[in-house]
Amino acid sequence: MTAADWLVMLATVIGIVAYGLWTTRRHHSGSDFIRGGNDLKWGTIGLSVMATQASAVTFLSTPGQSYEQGMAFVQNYLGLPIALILVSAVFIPIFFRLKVVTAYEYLGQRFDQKTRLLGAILFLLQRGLSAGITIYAPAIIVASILHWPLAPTIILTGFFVILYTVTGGTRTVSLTQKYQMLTILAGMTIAFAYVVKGLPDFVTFDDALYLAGMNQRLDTVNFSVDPGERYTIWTGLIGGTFLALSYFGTDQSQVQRYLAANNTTSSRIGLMFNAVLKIPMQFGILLLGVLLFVFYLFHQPPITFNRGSIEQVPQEIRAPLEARYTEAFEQRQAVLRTAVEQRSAGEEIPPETKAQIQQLNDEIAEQKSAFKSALVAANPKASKQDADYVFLSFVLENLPSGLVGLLIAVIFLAAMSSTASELNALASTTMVDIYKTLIHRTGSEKHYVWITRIFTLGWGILAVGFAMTLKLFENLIEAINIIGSLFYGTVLGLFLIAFFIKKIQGHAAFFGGVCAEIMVLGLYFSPIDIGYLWFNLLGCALTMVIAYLAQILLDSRRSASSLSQT
Amino acid sequence: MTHKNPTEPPIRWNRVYAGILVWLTVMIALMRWLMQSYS
Repeated sequence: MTAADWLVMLATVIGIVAYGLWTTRRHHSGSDFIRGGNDLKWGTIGLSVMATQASAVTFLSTPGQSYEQGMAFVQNYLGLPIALILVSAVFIPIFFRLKVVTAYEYLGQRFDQKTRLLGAILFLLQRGLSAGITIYAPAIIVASILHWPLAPTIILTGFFVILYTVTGGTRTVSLTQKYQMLTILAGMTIAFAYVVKGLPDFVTFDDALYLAGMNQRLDTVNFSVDPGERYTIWTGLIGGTFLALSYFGTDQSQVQRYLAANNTTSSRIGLMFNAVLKIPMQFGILLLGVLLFVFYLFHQPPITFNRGSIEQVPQEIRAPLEARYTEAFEQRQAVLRTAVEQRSAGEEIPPETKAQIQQLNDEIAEQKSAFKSALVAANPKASKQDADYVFLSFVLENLPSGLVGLLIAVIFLAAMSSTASELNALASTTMVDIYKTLIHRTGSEKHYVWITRIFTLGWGILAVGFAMTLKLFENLIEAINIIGSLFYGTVLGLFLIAFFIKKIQGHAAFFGGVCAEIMVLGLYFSPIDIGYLWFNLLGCALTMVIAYLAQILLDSRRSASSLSQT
Repeated sequence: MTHKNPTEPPIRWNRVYAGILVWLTVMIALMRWLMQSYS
C-alpha cells in the first residue's frame, strides 16, 4: 500500500466513525443507547439492516465462492424477500405493540422466563461465535496479503469497533452504518468497473459471460431435488426462507436495527428496501467473482492466491509445478483467444476446441491441487483453500493508488458495521434478558446504560479473544451460515409457536426447544449428509412438533389428575 | 416521534408484499434466462 492508500483508508474508516459519534454526541439516554431513540427513518433503518448482514466475509468470501464454483450461491438469498414479508406482516406489529427491547422479551411475555432465557442463550451462543469470525475473517486475509502481523490487526479492528459501540450505542451504530454501507456500495461498484475494464480488448462483456458459462460459472438456478446438494432453488426458497425468517425475526442483531425506527411503517419500509435490493446486490457481488474468473483466464494468477503460503513449499517441489502450471495456462490462453475471435466472427466454436479447453482446465487444476497438497505436506496447519484471497489480490495488483486504500477501507467498514451490530445486540440481550431480569430489576436508566456499556466491552473482548484462536473454515461465508443454521431453527420454532399456536404454554415450548436443539446438533455431527440450510427447517419443525406433543401430554396428565381428585 | 400527515394515503401493505413476490419471480426468471443463454 502506498501513502495515498493509507491516507484514504484511515480517513474513510476514522472519518465515518468520528462523524457518527459527533452527530450522536448529545443522545445518550437509555432510549438512545439501547433503542436508538426510536426516531430513525426508513433509509437509515434499511441501510443499517443491510450493513448488519453484509460483513467483510460477504465481500471477501463471496467473490471467491463464485470464482471457484459459480453463481449457485445466489440461491441462498431467494428466501429472503419471503422472510422479510413475514417479519414485516407478523413480527413487527407485535414487537412494536408490546414495546419490547429484545426479541426474547416477547418469549418471556408469551411463555415464561425459562423459555425467554433459552431463546436468549441460543442467540448469545450463536452470535458470540459469529462475532469472532466477523473480526477474524477480514483480519487474516488482509494481514496475509498486506504482510501485517495478524494479532495486532485483529486487536486493532476489534478495539476500534468496541470504542464507538461502547461510547455511542445503538443510535451511533445505526447512523455510522448508513455511511459505511454507502461507501461499501460505491467501492464495490468501482471494483466491478475495474474488473470489466481489465478484460482484454478482444473480450467484450458478452464474450466474458460466454466464457463464464462455458466453464460452468453461470449456473445460477438448480432445480435438483437431491437433499445432499448444497445450493438449489428449493434449499433457497424453503431452507433459505427459514434461515432468513429466523435471522431477521429472532436474531437480536437485526431486531435491534429495525426496532430503532420511529414507527412500524418506517421499520417495514426499511425491511422492504432490503427485500428488493438484497438479491441484486448479492448477484452483483457473485458476478464480480465470475468476472474475476474470466479476467484471470487472460492474466496469469499465482498458483495460489494466498501468496504468503507460496514460499512454504520447498523450491525443488514448487518450481516444476509452477513451470507446468504456466505452460498449461499459456496454452489455454492462446486457445481461448482463438475461440473468442471465432465467436466474434460469428463462427461456431468447434467441440474439439471446447474439449481442449476443458483438458487444459483439468491440467491447471491438477497443478494447483498438487501445489496445495505440497503446501499441507510442508505445513500441516496451512489451509488448502485460497478463494477468500482472490478479490483482495486483484485489488492490490490492478487498482490505482488511492482506490486500493478505499477498497481496503471497504473491507474494514464491512467488518466493523457487522461487528458493531453484533456487540450492540449481545450486550443488550445480556442486559435486558439476563441482568435486568435475574440480577438487578430496579436500577435507574443511567445504571442500565452503564451496565450495557460494560457488557459491550466484555463481549467485544470475548469476540477478539475468540478471533485470536480461530482457524479458517473451508469457506468463511459458509461457516457463518452453518453456525446460524444450527441454532436458528429452534429459536424460530419458539417464535412461531408463540405467534400461531396459542395452545402451547411455557413448559412444553421449553421442552420442545431443548430437545430440538440437541437433535439438530446430533444430526449435524453425525455421518448423515444433509445440506446445512435444511437444519433451519428441521430445527423449527422439531421444536414445534415436540412442543405440541409435550403440551398434549401435559394437558392429559392435568385432566387425569383433576379427575382423580373429584 | 414524527406525526403522520393525515392526508397521506395509508400504505396498502398486501400490495407491497405482492409486488415483492412478483419481483422475486422476475429475478429468478432473469437468472434462469442468463444461465440458459450462456450455457
